[in-house]
Amino acid sequence: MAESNPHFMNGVPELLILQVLKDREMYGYELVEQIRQRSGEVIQVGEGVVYPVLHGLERSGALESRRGKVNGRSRVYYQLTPQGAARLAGLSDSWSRLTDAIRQVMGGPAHA
Amino acid sequence: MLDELRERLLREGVKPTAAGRYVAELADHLDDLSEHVPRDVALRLLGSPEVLAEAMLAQPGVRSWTARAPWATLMLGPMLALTVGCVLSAAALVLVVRIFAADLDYGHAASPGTWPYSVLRVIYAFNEHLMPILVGWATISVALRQRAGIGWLLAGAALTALLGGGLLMVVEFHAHDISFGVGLKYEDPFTTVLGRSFESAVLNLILILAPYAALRMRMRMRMRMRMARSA
Repeated sequence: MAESNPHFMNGVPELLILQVLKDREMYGYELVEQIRQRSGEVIQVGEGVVYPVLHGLERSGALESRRGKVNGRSRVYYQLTPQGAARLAGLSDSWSRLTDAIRQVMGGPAHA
Repeated sequence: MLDELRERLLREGVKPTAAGRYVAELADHLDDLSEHVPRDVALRLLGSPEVLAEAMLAQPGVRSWTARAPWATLMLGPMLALTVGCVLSAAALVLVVRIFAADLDYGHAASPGTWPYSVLRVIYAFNEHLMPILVGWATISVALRQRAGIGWLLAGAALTALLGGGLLMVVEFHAHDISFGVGLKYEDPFTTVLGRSFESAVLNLILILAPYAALRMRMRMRMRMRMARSA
């Protein structure tokens, strides 16, 4: 199991959450599982820390939530809003430029 | 662990609704994790109480008004509530009398035995004896729920008691008109009203603070029970 890397993760959870929720609505546990699977289990933080980020994104209008049932248990589902989609586009663009810049510094090829 | 986290967040000034929702979702998450891994591993994966608390406290907009400006919610709030309550009740009485007793000579309408007079007495009694206690209890409830310091709690209760004891609703019936206003009984220190106002304020304070000790004991017992359950 990979070690958590909290410093590297600063600011990244927001981008990952918005990206994962782009496809469909999810509840917290499902969301964390998706991030873990899609990152090949490289990205791991204390799983509970996603909730303050989710709540913050909801307060800012990037996400909406609703209560739903999963196996008879109540869960809070989160979904992306149009405002959240716009924010994701901006964050993705910034992230791509940053990773390209880092790759160039490291001597690798940049994206076209 | 989650109860300790909730308590810590409340003490750090997080809104009770935000802290409650966070802890409830963490409990759900822990249940989901526990279906796949042992409980101790699930707790580790969820995150330590320090990490979970820091993540919440780092979010903007989660601190309550009582944490950011206790003077506003625990002192200004009760003052406004009492004043607005007094003004609204007097205005409501004037409106009702004007609508339903428009054909009466208002000067006689205020005589004992008439319904406007009876309503006026009820409103006076409510404003003078009941409203300060209700506002005081609400103030203490907010202070306790949001873990405000004892100093702010007592200051809010004392101010509510003092203002509640001295607030004076004045409704004057003239022959063809009714006027109303709100003032302070304390403003003339040479009348016996002063004595009555302070007596009323002291009585208010006692009645406001009496349930506080009971509430505090109940909260302590609840917290001990929760901690014993989660241990």
